[in-house]
Amino acid sequence: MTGMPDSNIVIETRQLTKRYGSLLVLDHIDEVIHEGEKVAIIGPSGSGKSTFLRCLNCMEDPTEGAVYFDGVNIADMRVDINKHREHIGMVFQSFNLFNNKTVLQNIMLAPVYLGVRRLRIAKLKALFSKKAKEKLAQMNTSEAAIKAQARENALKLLRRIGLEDKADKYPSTLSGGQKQRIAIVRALAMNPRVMLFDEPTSALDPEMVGEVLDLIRQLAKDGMTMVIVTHEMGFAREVADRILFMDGGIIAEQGTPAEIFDSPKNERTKQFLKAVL
Amino acid sequence: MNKTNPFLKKHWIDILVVAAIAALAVLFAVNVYYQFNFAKKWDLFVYYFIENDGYTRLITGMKNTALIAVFGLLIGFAIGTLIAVLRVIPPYKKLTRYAHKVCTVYVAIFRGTPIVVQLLVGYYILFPIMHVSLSPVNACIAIFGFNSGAYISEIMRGGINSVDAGQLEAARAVGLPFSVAMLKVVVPQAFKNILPTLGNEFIALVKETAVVGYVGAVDITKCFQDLGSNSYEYMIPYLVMALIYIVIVATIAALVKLMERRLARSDRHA
Repeated sequence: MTGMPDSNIVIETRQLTKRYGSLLVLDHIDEVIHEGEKVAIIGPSGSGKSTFLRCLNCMEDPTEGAVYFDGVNIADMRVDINKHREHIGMVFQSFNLFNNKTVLQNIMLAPVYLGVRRLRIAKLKALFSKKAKEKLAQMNTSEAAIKAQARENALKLLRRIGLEDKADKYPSTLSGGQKQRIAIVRALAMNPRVMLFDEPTSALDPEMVGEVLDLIRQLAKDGMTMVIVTHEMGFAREVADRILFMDGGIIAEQGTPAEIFDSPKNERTKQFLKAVL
Repeated sequence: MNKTNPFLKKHWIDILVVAAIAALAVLFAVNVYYQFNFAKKWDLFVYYFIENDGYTRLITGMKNTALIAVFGLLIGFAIGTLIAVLRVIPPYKKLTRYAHKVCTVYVAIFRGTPIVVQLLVGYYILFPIMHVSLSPVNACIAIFGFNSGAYISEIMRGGINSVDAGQLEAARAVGLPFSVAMLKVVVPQAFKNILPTLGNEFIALVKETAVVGYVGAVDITKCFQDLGSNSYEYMIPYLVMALIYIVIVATIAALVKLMERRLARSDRHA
């Protein structure tokens, strides 16, 4: 994957470093995620893999270094991070569905809010300039239309995962597997360029792991760019184009699944794989 | 007579104690009744209360107490939520750190001085200086609002902390700004958690309004004070006043309890 042209880079970290006090969690990591790539991050607990993932959308602010998303350094505090996070989907270990909202509201909340706000800002600008007025005319939409479209899209996504009958249910009535699939769909509703999965199956009962992995597999097949922190080695091997093995805050070894799982070169990788496989 | 009642057999000592206390209470009541010339006092109270327009004033007083407590709570809730949300913003920016300081000072001032002092300073000094002319009742609403805002901010902060941090993260992850994530996702959940505590805050507020007479607002307390001083007879007005407060507070407490049970049930069924 290294021979790809630069225009295909989705996320690039340069000298990404994260410290908690004196504890060095990420140690000057340079890494590139390309368009359409499926990257799995494995490694022992405490190796910094979740922190690395969370730095990719600045959920954790890096202590040093840069994170380029679409060519913009989103680690820069002056950048409006919200604008970029829209395009980076994130799925959490503990699902984090909004407990006070129904399934449908969970999915619609961000698209509707952001769409309506964009429209209102355009309307406001149109009061002052002619150019903005033309732009507003081009948008050719209304708040009602935005809501209707978001609703339609949400229902379509729910249908895809076979949960449209749960649209008006609250998250507390759902199983873990259902919650996680809805969380994935909630991220998809924003049409992200890349999806970050933070141990998406670690909090699930064993019999529900399959349905979530199936959905992620589908996304992979559809060509979604993904970064997955996981303990499911079999899944990582099957879905990923590239495996990153992290240990002690650095990417100790990386390569294709075959390289990492069948002939690891790094001593720590060997130890880790021996322990988990 | 070998068939004794089992209830009597088991509880005779309790019954004896209750009977003794009741007898003492009756004795005391009779004593008071004659010694303090209760009948005359009652007649006087009835005269001032019914025939001298005491009851219309009481209605105004109750209305004012309710106005000050209810709107005080609403304003307090708005201010308290604002302060609590401001205080949980991570202090990366200079502006945030200043906002934190302002909030801390605000809370320290309003929790660190008696409400009577706040009323006096506000109504007689600060409002006139700022050329704000409010009626006594409106001034009380404002000051009680500011005051309970300080207390509710602490309650709300606890409520916000009780909501799983993942909720905020998930909202931020889809691109919602901090303020929106807070107001649409975190605060509604926090609000549900602190509803019973807010009910208790409301009860406290109702009781605290008893001091608004200091700035000339007529509430329940003021109204009975005046009734007492008009008739030169305080005993019955004050007892009736206490009774009215107990009934009001007990009613609100019952409502809060009902609400708590409802919430617990909706948690189970969700």
